[in-house]
Amino acid sequence: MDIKLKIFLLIICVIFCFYIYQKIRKEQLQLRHSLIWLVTLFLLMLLTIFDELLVPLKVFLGFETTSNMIFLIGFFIITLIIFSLTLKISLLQMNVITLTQEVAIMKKEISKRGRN
Amino acid sequence: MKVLIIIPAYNEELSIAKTVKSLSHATIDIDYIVINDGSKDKTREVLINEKLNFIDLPNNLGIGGAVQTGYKYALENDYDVAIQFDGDGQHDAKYIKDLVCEIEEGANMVIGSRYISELSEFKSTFMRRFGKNLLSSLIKMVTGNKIYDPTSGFRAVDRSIIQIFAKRYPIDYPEPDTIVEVLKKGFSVTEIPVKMKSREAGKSSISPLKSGYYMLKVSFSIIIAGLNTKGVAKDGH
Repeated sequence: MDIKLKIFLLIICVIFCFYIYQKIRKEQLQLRHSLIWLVTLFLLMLLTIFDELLVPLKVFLGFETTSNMIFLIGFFIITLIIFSLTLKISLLQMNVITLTQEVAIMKKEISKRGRN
Repeated sequence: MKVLIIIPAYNEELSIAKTVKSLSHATIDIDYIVINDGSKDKTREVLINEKLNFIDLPNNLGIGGAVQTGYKYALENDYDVAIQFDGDGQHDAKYIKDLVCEIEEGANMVIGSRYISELSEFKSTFMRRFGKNLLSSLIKMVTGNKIYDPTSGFRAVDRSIIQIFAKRYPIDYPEPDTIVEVLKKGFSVTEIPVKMKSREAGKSSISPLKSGYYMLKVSFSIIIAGLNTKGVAKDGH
């Protein structure tokens, strides 16, 4: 891989890592939700630095360049992350619905008792 | 029998009071509860001013979440029968007695059906009928039962179904897949003929634009519901 591309990718990854660190420090992001991103970035950085290790696999799968393969690996991981987010949203929506219903019914009970 | 009429209302300021008053046409003793589904218009003010019995949802949950609130309320207040009744004046309260009679005769769920007989000259476009037939066939395929009006929102259920619905109810377009779920669990679903009026005010919840999504979602959920509870016996839940 071209050294310029390597440096560029590494800089992006480092900036992103630093940004995540800031968010954790300001308590805008829970550590457990940041781990998947930090692991992903760490993996991408490793692959970028030691891209020679990927050459046999690159040849086997028929990729033109190692950078293409790194991008594809990143893409797979991101797809998994997005899907897990969709799952979370689904779960959260169900929880919000249950909460809304319970609160509304409780309000009703309270106003009923208030009248008696 | 203690009967509860569940009336979901989203932006029904013009028709909700009239709808509740029309319940006096029911020839049996009933209670009702309006579920205000986070309406953005003056529905809430109307409910307060007219001193109607209502539950006020702080968020808009959609028809499924609103109706389910009614089932939870029915469960907590120990009702024998819960009947869904549209807030927009489409349904006719004089059929409530017929629905309750069917439950008394042992049906677990009764659907007020527009298409079961020639009595109903409910106006419907070709596409709507086509969609309904498609859903009917799909339900028949999955459960072996013919349901003439799978999308009717005018339905009565008994205690056992109230319990199920209070626990689990689809968020949007809930009618067809709940029928499948009920049938799959071994409960009985019957239909009685009803006439429905055209809407008094407000817009239909299903615009032409959404009907593609509607058919896709509902077909898919019928198939899922069909696979899901396959072979689960009536006492197995």
